[in-house]
Amino acid sequence: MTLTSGSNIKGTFYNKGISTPHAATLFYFDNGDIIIETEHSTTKLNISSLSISPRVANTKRQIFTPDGNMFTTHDNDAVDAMISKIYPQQKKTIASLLYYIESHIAAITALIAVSIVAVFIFIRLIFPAIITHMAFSIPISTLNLISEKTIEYLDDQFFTTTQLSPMRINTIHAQFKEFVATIPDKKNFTFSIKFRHSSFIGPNAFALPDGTIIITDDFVKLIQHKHELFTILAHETAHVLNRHGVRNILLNSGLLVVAIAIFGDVVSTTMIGLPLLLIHNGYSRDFERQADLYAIEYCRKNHISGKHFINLYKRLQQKAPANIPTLLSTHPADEERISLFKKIDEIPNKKP
Amino acid sequence: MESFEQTNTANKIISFHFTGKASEYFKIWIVNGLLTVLTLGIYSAWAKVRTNRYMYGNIYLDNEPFAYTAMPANILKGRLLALGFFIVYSLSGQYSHTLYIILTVSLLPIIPWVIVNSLRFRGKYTLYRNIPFIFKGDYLDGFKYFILIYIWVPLTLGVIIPYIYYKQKQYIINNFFFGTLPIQYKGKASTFYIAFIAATMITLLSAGLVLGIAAAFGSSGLFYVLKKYLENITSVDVSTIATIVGIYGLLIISLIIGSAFYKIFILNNVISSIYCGQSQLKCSMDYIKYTYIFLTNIVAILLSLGLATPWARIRYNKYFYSSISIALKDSLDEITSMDEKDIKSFAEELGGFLDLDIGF
Repeated sequence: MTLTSGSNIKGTFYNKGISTPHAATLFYFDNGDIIIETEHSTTKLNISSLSISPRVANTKRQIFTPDGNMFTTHDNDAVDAMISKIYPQQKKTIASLLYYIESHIAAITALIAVSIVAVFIFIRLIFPAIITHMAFSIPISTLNLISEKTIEYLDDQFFTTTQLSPMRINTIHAQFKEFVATIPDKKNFTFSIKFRHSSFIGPNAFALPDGTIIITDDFVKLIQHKHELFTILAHETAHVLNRHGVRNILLNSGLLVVAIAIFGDVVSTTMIGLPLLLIHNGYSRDFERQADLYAIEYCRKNHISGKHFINLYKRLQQKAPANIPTLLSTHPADEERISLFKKIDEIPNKKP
Repeated sequence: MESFEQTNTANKIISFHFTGKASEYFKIWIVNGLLTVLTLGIYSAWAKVRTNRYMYGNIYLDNEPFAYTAMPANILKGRLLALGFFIVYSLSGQYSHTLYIILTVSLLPIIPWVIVNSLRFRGKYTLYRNIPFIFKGDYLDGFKYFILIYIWVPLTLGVIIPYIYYKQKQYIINNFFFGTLPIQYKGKASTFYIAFIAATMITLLSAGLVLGIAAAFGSSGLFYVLKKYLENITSVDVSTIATIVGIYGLLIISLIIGSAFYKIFILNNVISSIYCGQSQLKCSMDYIKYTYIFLTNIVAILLSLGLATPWARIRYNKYFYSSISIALKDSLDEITSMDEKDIKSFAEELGGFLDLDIGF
C-alpha cells in the first residue's frame, strides 16, 4: 500500500458496543477511500459513509462508521484537512462556518455589529409595523368592548362620580361638541367625554381606544380657557385615531412574548425586564410626540395659539411635578413639548 | 500522539476532571446568544448542542472525554412541539373554555412523559468510550413519582416533600444503565430531611446574625429610619435607602448561604451513593469553597452584566468535576453496550408513539 505523506490521522478506535480502546491510524486518499488500522483490525470504507462530528473548540472529534464503530481524535486540524482535501470544491458546511466564527475574534465582532443593527431595525421598524397593522385590523366594535371593560375596571379601582357642578359639566359638554365638529376625519369613531373624580390619579385626561375621553375633576379645574381644553382634546383625539391605546397593549405583550421566546433559556426574565421597559417607554414617547404634532397641526388650522397649551401645561406641572429622566419616562421631556407648541405661533407669522 | 495507555483500571480510584477554558467557552457562548437572537430563537437548538458538545467533551475520566452526539434538528422538533402546545394552550384560554380545561388536565400525563423522554434522549446521546447511557424508566412509574405522589403534600402538610425529592432521584438514577452496567442509587431519604432542616437553620441563623449586627450598629437608628421610610418615602435620603438595600442584600446572601449548603449536602451525599456496576462514585465538595465560588460567581455575573457567565460556569465545572472520583471495581476497558433488543423493548414499554426521538 502506498501512502502520500500527511494523509493519516492518529487516534483511538472503539468497536461498537465495547469500551476497549485501540490505538489506531486513519489513512485517507484523494478519492475518498478510508482505511482505519489498529493492531487487530483493518477497516476499509468510503468517507461518504462516515458521520464526522462538527468541530467545537478543541474537543475530541468522533468519526462513526455505519456499523457504529468510533474513531476519535484530538487532531482536529488533521480531520479538517482530510475533509477539505477530499472535497476541495465543496462549500463550507454550516458546522465548519460556526467553528470559523467561534475561533475568530473579528468574525465575532462583525456578528455583534450585525446583531445590534438587526435588533435596532426590528425594534424600531419591523415590530412596530407589524403591531400597527394588527391594531388597524381590529374592528371598532372590538375597541368598544375593550373600552367598556377598561372603564368598568377603572371605575371599580380608581374613580368615583364627578363632583363638578352640573353647570360646569354642561359648559364642557358644549365645548366638546364644538370641538368634535372641527375634527377633519373621524375615521368612523364616535367621540364622547366622561367626567370622573380620583384623588389617586390627580389632574389627568386620557382616551380609551373607542374614542371615549376621560377627564378628571382636578384637570377640569385647571382649565381656564376653551382653547386650552381644545389642545388637550386634539392630543387625545390623535391617540384615538392612530389607535395608540391598542398598539400600546399589543407592543407591550408582543415584546414580552418575543423576548421570552428568544432569551427564555439564555437569561432570566428579571434581566430582560429593564431593557423591555426602556424599549416600551420609547414607543410610548413616540406616540406622545405624534399626538402633540397632531394637536399642533390642529391648532394651526383653527388659529389657536400655542400659549394655551403651554399655560395649561405649566399649571399642570405646578400641581404634579414630575422629574423623571427621559429614558424612564413615558412622555417626552417638558422642554421638548413646550418648545414644540411655541412654534405654532412662530411659523405661520413668517408666512405671508 | 494520543495520550493513550492500555492499562487495567480495575481496583483504582480515579478522579474526573474538567478541561474547559473560559476563553474558548466565552466565544461559543456569545455566538450562541447572537445567532439565537438573529434567528428568532431557532438557533437555540444548535446552541444547546454546541454547548453540550463543548462541556461533555471536556469532562475527562481516565484520559477519555465524554461525548454528546444529539442532532440539533431533533431538539428543534421538540421545542417547536412545545411552542405549538403553548400557543394552542394560551389561545384556547380565550376562545374555548372546555379546550382550555382539557389541555390543563392533559398537562398531568404530559409532564412525566416529557421528563421520561428527556432522560432517554439525554442518555442515548451521551457516550463514554462509544458506550451510551440507557434510561429504561417506566412511564407509569414516572407518572407516579412526578404527579401522583404530590397528592400527599397537603395531607402531610408538606412534610413529605424531601421524601418526594428522594423518590424522584431514586427513580431517575436507578433506571439508568451504562452499557450493561446498572447504575444504582443506594442513598437514604434521611439525607434529604437533614439537608432541608440544616439549610433552613443556617439561613435563619445567618439572617438573624445580619439583623442583629445591623441593629447593633445602627442601634435604634435603624428602626427609626425604617419607620420614617414607611411613613413617608420622599423624606428619606440616599444613605437611608443604601442602608435598607444593604440589609436586604445581606439577607439575600444569607438565603444563598443556606441554599448553597442544601445543594452541596445533597450533591455530596447523592453522588457518593451512586454505584455504576460495582464501582462507587464519590463527591467531596468543600462547603466553604463551594459557597465562595457560588457567591463570587454571582457577583461577577452581576457586575459584568452577564458577560462573566461563561467564565463562572467553567470555574464551577472545574471545581465540581475535580471533586468527583470513582472507585473502580469493573475495568473501564471491558464495558459492553446493552443489547439492541433490550433497548428496543424498553422503548416498546413506553408505547410506540410515545418514544419520539426528540429533546427539549
